[in-house]
Amino acid sequence: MNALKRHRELDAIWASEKGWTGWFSTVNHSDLGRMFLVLAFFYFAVGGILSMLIRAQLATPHSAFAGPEVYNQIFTMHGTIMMFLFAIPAIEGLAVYLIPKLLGTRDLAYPRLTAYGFWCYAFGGAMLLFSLFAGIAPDGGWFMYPPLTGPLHSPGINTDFWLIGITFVEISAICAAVELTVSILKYRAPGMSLDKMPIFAWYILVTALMILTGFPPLILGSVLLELERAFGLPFFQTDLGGDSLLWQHLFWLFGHPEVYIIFLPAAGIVSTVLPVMARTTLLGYGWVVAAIVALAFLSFGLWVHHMFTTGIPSLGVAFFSAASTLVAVPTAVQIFAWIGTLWKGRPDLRLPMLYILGFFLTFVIGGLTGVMVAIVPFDWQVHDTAFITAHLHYVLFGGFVFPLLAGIYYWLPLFSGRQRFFRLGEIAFALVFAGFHGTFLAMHWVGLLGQRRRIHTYDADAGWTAINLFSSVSSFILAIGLAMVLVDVILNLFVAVRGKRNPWNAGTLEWATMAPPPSYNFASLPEISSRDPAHADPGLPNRIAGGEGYLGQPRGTLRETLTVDIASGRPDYVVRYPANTRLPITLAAVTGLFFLSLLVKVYWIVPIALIGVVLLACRWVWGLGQRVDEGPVPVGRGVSLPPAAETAKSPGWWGSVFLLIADATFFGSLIFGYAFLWTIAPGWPPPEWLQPLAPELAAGVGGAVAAAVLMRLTIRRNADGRPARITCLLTLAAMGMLGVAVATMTGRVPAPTGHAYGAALLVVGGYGMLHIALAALMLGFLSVRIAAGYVSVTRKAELHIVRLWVDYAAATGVICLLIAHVPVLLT
Amino acid sequence: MSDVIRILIAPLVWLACFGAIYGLHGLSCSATFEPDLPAGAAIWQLLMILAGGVAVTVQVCLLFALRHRAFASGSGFVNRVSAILAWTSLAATLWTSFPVLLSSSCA
Repeated sequence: MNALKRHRELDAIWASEKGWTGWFSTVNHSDLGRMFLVLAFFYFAVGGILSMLIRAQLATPHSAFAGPEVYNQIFTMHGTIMMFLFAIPAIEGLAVYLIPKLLGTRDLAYPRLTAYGFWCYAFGGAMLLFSLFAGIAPDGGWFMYPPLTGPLHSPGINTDFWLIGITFVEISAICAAVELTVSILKYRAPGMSLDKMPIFAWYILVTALMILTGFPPLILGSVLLELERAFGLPFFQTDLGGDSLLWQHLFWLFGHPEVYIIFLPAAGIVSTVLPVMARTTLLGYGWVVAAIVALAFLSFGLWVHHMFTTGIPSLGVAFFSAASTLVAVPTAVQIFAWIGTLWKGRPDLRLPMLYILGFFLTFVIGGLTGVMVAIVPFDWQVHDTAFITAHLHYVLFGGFVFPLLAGIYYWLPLFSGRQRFFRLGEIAFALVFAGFHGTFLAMHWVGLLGQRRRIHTYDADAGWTAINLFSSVSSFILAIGLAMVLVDVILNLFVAVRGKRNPWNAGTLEWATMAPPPSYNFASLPEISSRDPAHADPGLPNRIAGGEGYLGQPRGTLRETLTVDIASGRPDYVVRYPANTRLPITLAAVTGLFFLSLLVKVYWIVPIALIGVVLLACRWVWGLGQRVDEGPVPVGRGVSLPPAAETAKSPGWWGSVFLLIADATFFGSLIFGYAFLWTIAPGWPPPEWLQPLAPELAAGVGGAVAAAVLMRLTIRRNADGRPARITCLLTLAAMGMLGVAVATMTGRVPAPTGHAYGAALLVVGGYGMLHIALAALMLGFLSVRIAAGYVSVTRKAELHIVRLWVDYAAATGVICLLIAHVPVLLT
Repeated sequence: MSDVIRILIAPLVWLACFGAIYGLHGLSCSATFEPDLPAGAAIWQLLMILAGGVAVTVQVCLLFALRHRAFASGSGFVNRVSAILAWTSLAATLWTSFPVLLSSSCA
């Protein structure tokens, strides 16, 4: 088969539906990556327009441009859109588009999940955008502190849009994080061991793990605050045993890692683009990997530094001040690695390099002001002033937008297959750089002079007028610069002349395929022996196109790729992907109906939407797997590998592991919140405790142990070739016993609207019951699958996936019961 | 997966210890758990110093374990990165536990 015939056959297998209707059914990562990026930059434009409105308002004292109510919505939506609808989705989009190409594979681990995540983002974002245009947008600031955002002080629907809309959008981030983690660990070109992974993949891997552990506390906080607003459960009301400080803990447990979730992928772009621009390799690859991991962990130990002025004890402040200064070290390791890379190379001052230099200057200033605010006495002085706003923008715009623009220009020839012709970009860079520093340097200054953040007006005699005017004029220059970038990119995407492959002479795999890449990415999967395969083997693109790698012979209509052993990169299984489908958009729409019914408080729709989600999820999973044992299939180069369904650790198992890590973080945050209220909140002890009930506890523990044991028995019976359906149903019965125990406990909690104790136990019990119901549903589904012939001695993947969920439900169910019983006994 | 855990384990232990010491501090300052003994405050501070000491000891043990042949990975890269992170985590533990020696205030 020649290269052209192979291309035609593969494209027929992998391509999306033609025309605009294909947007709704595509599961191709390149399409979805582009859709993410376009929508994210649309929101960047919306957020940018809102920032112009803020600066118009603040340009002069006593401005009548916007009243306080409108102004509150503008700055809240500016922050919310930039954080949740631009920065994170832009990273997701870039990673979704690039990661399979960098790793030398054909798609991400779960193509339909990519599509589902995108549509959740699109629908959730539309919900928030609607609130903005309807004049009912959130107005409590992007971090939504109660009691301001509680039912007493913000009774309207504005805050609900934020809590429900953001939770909906965060489904997208969790989906992308699971997807990217599994893809990077398992879906790589054969031979690509951990030390040969492109550095960008390391950054995205760590970022994805951070999303999995950073977002759940915010989701929990949003759920608790919405429960308080909708049903009166007083988690944040001091007089009823709640504490508004709990929100700050939960929010910043998310919020500080969020800064690094945004920064790290951008740093990944710098670490990828800089060596290419300097015509060398990255200095200290291993040190940079260690610095990324260290930075990720340290970022989770900093959250209280946003709370230095809340009156927490001085020892607590000292812990977090120490941790905050420490985080500068791994950041500095990366910066020195970049400087060293420049030093050993021969830098070429092309447009991506200009943005990287802009990043250096801006981010270093932002980092240094970060160290300043880590020092407690200084933070007390500048807290909630424009200095903090300026610092935040130096870190986020400097640390994210500059590298992102460098990345956009660097990968533009790959996106478009064209060479850059129009030269607006250099002028745009000058405007962006000058406009940004004019805007935010001035804001540091006015902050030090005492201007608070989020004020809608100020007196003329405050001495801030000239500085604010200068800042506002500069911000419009910045906006003009960004608009020019947009025009430049659009012109070069659609009008410029065709370019050659790999115009930068880069060494990574995305340049070893066609530009723009075909729907299947690689005609055959290459064997990798170097971190820069395109440099190590200049003939690689031709060999890939010629089908000399793995899976070079298309098989029927199967969309196939390989998974590898995590550490060594040795190929281990063949994966078959599902085809194009409208299931993801339908499921996202029904999920949206669930959130929308909560938002507008039409609660009778909620169970209908939930049943819809369950049915569609069953439909989603039913299409996977096969009814016959296949055994190893030839994948080329004389190698045969078994299909992924014939392993215990299938892609679904890996996805479940990482999803459960996020779930466990949510549960851990819930336990933290309960313990925090118990020990710190005033208004405790509650007027009434839950009475311990030994039979309830015994039944629950017995059911959990029985479920775990019976599930293992099911797996063993299947492995021995004996019928497994009966033990599967017995596992379901044991899970039911645990469910009854947890439900009884939940039904007995003291009045949940009367005190935070009862409210917290209600949520703990609800969490336990939800997971028991989920495990029961899976067990029921599994018994049907066994009866339908989808499980055999060889095809055992589904058993092991269900075992994970059964174990998790059993463990959390028991913990829920212990949480309710043990502290009362101790008290 | 074991190689990924080898890379992540030392900073993960740092984070767990940091959280535990901060939690212990929260308990020491909470009204619910305020000890009736006159030397209650001193006991809590002693506990926190002890917790800091345990955290440092655990990190030192981890450092030795990760460098020991019995626990080594087949990948030199993984060994190198996990060693760097073990040293980093030890330094982080020392640095972030240091305040327990200097301050005992719940004010």
